[in-house]
Amino acid sequence: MKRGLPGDFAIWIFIFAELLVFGVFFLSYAFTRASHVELFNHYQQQLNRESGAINTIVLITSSFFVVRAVTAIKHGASALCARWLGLAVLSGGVFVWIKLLEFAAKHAEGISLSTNIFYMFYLSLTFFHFMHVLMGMVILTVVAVKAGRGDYSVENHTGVETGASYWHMVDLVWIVLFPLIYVMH
Amino acid sequence: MEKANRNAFLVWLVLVVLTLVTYMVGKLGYGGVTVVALLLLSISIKGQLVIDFFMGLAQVHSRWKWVVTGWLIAVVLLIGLAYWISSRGVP
Repeated sequence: MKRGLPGDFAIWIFIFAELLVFGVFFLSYAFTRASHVELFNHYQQQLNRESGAINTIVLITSSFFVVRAVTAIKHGASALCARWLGLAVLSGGVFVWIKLLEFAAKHAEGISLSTNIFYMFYLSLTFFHFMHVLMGMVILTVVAVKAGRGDYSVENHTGVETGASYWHMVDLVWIVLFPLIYVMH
Repeated sequence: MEKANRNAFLVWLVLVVLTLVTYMVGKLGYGGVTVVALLLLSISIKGQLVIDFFMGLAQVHSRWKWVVTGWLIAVVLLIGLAYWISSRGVP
């Protein structure tokens, strides 16, 4: 058993704060829905569940790549760690591309934050998460470059674990978001 | 390394299968209290797998790890409460 959380403790303070914000968002959605059940159920049917499901698998897969990167650096394989992180960033890019197509489709339909309360939640929640994916991709890219340069080792790989912890938080939040917004009624 | 990679792959596989089941539930239009309860159970399992095996908190001896698990439990229970209230038609 390790004594502390993986990575830099500062990232965990950030993660706890982010989880709190997303938690409040989720509960606001769920309790607001209780007063607008018909409206929420109707407009939920108009979402692209396929892209939501594909993006869930893409994020889960990217998290798996990050786990492989952490395992690699724990065994001193810096180049392998960098390659797994590169694959995770690429997966993040696929997520971003699919999400942009989804946003573009809604925009083309004339849907915006002010369309109705369901779309206000859908657009703000998914866009807020989208920004976290972009930030996670930046973090993982920096860590991948450093790993490729050999900056991490078996003894010193806090940076890899820090980036990994953030990315898994982004994945964890989407695991709640997808069923809640796209499926549950 | 082999064992860790195999375990990570198995977790990934379970996460993918549960995601596909969730997608099919939506595709087939299933809803209601029982379906919501099962979806929340699926969220709990997926979330705890990510926390324990991807974040690696199962291997950590720290009180802080319960913040993440506590968040998941609280969110799932309160979402369940909101859907239960809405199923009873209470505004």
